[in-house]
Amino acid sequence: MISPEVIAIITLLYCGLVFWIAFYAEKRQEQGRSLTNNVYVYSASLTVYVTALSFYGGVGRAATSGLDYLPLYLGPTLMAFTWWFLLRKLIRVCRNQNIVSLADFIAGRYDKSALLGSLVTLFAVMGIMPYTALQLKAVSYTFDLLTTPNLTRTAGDLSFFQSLTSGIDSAMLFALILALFSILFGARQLDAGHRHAGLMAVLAFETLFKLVIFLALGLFVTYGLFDGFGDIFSRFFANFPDRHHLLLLDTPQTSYAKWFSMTLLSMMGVMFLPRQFQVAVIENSSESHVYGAMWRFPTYLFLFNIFVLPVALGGLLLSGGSTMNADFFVLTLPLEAGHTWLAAVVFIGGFSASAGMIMFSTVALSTMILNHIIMPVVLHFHFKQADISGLLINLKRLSIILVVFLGYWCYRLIGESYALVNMGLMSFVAAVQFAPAIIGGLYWPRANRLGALTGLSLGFLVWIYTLFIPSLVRSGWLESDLMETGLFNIHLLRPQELFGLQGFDMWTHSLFWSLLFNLLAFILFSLLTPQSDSERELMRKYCELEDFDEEKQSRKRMSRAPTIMEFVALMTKFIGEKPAHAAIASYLGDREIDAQGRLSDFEIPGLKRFTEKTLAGHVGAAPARIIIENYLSARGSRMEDVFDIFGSVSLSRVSGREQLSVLYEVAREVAANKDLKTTVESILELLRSQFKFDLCVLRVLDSEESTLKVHSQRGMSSEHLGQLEPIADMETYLGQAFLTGEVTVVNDTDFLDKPRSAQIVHQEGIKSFAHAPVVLEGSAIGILSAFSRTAKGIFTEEFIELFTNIAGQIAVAWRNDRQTAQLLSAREQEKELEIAKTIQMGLLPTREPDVPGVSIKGTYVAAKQVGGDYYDFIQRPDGRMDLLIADVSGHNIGAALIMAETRTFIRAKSREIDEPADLLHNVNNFFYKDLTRAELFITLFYLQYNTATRELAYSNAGHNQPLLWRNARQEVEWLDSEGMILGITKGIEFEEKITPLEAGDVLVLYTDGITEAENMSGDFFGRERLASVIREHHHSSAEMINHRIVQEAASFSGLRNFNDDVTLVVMRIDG
Amino acid sequence: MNPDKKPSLHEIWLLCLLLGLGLFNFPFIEIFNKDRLVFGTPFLYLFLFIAWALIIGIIYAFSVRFHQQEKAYERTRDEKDEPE
Repeated sequence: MISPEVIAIITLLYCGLVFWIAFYAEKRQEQGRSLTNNVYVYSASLTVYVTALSFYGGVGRAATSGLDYLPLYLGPTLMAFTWWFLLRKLIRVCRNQNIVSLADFIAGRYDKSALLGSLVTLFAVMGIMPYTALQLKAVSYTFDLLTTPNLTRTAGDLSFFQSLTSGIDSAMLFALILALFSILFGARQLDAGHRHAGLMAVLAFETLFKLVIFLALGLFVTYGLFDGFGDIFSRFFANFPDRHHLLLLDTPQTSYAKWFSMTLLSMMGVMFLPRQFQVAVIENSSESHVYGAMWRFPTYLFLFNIFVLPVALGGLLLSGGSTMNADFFVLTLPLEAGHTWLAAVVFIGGFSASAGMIMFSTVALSTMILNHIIMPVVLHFHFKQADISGLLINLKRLSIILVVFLGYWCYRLIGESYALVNMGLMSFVAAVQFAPAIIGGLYWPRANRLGALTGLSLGFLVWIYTLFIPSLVRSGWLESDLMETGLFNIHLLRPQELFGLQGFDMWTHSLFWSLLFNLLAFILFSLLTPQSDSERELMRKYCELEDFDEEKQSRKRMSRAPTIMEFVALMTKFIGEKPAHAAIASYLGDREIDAQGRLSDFEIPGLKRFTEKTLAGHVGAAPARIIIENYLSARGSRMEDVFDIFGSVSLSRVSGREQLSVLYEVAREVAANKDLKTTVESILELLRSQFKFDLCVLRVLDSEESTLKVHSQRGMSSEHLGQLEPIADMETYLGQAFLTGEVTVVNDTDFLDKPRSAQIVHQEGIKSFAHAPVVLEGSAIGILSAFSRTAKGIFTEEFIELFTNIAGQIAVAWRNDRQTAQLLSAREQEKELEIAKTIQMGLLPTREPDVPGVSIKGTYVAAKQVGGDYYDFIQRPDGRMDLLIADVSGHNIGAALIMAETRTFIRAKSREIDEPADLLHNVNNFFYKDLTRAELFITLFYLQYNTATRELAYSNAGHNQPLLWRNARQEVEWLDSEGMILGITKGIEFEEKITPLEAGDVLVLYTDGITEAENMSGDFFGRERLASVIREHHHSSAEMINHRIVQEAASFSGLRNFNDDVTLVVMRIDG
Repeated sequence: MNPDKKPSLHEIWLLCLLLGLGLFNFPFIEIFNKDRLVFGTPFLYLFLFIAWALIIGIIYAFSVRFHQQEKAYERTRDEKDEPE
């Protein structure tokens, strides 16, 4: 016996240690250096399965009914086999759907049914009561055992606490401590999706703690009190020949049926007891941890159970076969052996096992209570405060206290009359009722809300009737002969022999009937009743892990949609200001918001989904949906099915086909290449008739007035809309679309923020409209618009895409039209050039003049374009010969005509005028006007050779300086004289020079086609190269020299054709 | 299913699960339901613990293989994604 003070101090020390661990883990988590996000802590947390039921009850069970304590651990081992797919799928669904509890999971799968959520919560709270009770019983009982000598638990016996304050027993005190602990670490935040790092760390610690203590105790009993396993077994065999049934199956205590049902119970319990679901699914931080836990968890159970039977048998041996306190052999054995310190440590081990279970049960259940029972009530009352998150968190704390004290109440009711394991098994049977709805929900697509609802309800009613009520009767709390006579005195309805089923233990009996009703109703109603659309969608998310939202929802739009700030205010109300702002910031981070800080129409449903999901993380899926829907309906917003613009069912594949066919029609119109007006009008008509618009308009920018003028329109004749020609500025939607180059959509003209547009739109009774810019070569040239007077919200994302495409097609038609015009003008130009070329060729001399003592060769090489080059010989009767070379700027028919005129003028004037300078003066005066008008000018070099005197007289009107090879000096000279280009100013005087020529001299006249022949690197052929050709070939004939020059220039440029025309005249003075 | 192919991991897994379920239940367990000591230990008790350890060993082997398989799958998926 230990003094209560010592035990109290040890307990408090232990609590202090655990508090410290939890705080430390939370701190580490906040710093981002999590202690708990690993496979070890995850595996350890699963051992919350091992509670006082195992710590004390296992030995008690083994001592009283034998090996049937084992299925409770074999079952989980077998279940672990399936975790790699079952548990991982559960985890994935919960993560995808932001699910925070078991009730949330079931409600979420079945149409987010609030009713189902509350039912599951109610059942879970009821079902778990006996389990909590057994923990409190174990802790308070062991406490009293330790502190009270010769405990008999009679009314007169005053325990320490009873003497302290009447009315408070140790169980209540422990209940208070445990509730406090759970509140501190389980209800700090409202966000239930948030993992409880502190609690997880505590669990990990307790896992180790309870195992070490239990093994120590086992070693103490087996090897301290006895001489090993063999000793215990042989002494048991010798001393209790009548108790061999403890080591066998198929005995009155442990039938195969019981063995089987216990296995099944524990298989389901390890998955679906609310706290197991909480640690295994909700608190999981990585799916891959499941692999590690699959074998670590069963191994733990294995180790834990090694000494259970030896301790139980040892206890029997030492107590002389009495099983009265078998549940507490673990404590009484060291106590009676005088090892009070070991007993105290065992007590702490048991306390820690209980504490872990209670903490996680309450966290799981309080979340469920808050979300599925309190929240619907809160919503019903329409609290006006902006932020009720504080109220909610306090309600969550209250529900923790409620859960613990329901357990305490249950302990007071049935604690005395039931062994620990039997109380626990009641909860297991209750937990099994969740299995069909959960597993069926994951793997059976047809499972529906009604099936789950009826299955669960029937299962629980049977559980209450066959297990819970009998326990109340048995404990004497319920005075009734129900057990003997059955309900309404119908013999067949006796709770533990329902429908006359006899010969089974109460667990098997209850499990059989409850599961049978549950499954039958679940399957039958699921088969017989249809699923709603929304349910089917949820089914896909659960069964096929699909995320179907985006596509489906994009076909909906919201009328009278709330703004972003209104959504934030809504979230603030339930989750608090800071979390709400953080959430919205993360959501908006990667989304486009327009200038007014609004989301586009298509983003609003997304924001609604996000708000719902965020709320779901805090208050559960079903309440979140109720919150959102209540809120929206209160402000008159509605999710409307989009008026089906494609006239087809809401399958995007089908509408895709429609879309294609319209585009195809449009493309055909464009390809038909009719005139632009016809094409555009056909497209507008197609658009209008296909989608039942009231008006379709194409406006085109008038660049002078910078207004958008109507080009074509189809549909209602409207003075205001059709004729409206707004200035392209941001004051109207039209202008905005034009200037930003982006599609502008107004799906509901009740909400317009451009007053100028609004006025007209309302006058016309337009309900919705869209403007798409027609973009040609990167800049908008016009706007395609569609207006509807009948329907709001017809512009879906899909339609906008199509609309934009059509605008693109109009741009193509526009470009085609423009190109055709260009082509026509090009063709005309070509014809003109053809004429010019003919004229020019006709002007060139057909043969060289026959001048004695001189050989001459003239060449004209046409380039791709027609040039204004021209040369001519005029032979005078006195033996003089005039030679001229000219280049008219411009390459058109005008230039050719000027040239012809020049030729005629010179030929005529040369009869009267002798001197080159005079002649040029006359030409300039004569052509000045024509040239100026035509914006043309002429360069001209005029020379006169006197065969008798061998004198050369010349004048230059801005032409390239001809080259003269002085054979005597063997050098090149450039002939130049003062003079301006013809056609610049009137009355210019030209200088005339005279120079004698000698035999062997070579004169080269050329146009810039030669000197400006360009090679690939941009260099010109130039005068130097020309000179060197002459140096080399001056002794050749004129024809040969001419040929060489052209060849050299051509090979220099490396092209087959010259860029410009080449005119070259070579004159050689022969010997 | 191609009978020539080696059985898949999942097929072996299913077999083992059935084996586990069978091992701990009637009628198989009846074989060991004998009132005698073997190696100084009750026969049934000994069997249950040995079978239990065996099952845990099998689960361990599967968990390692499944984990490897998943990691390999993720690797190939990542590699596939990368060039894009």
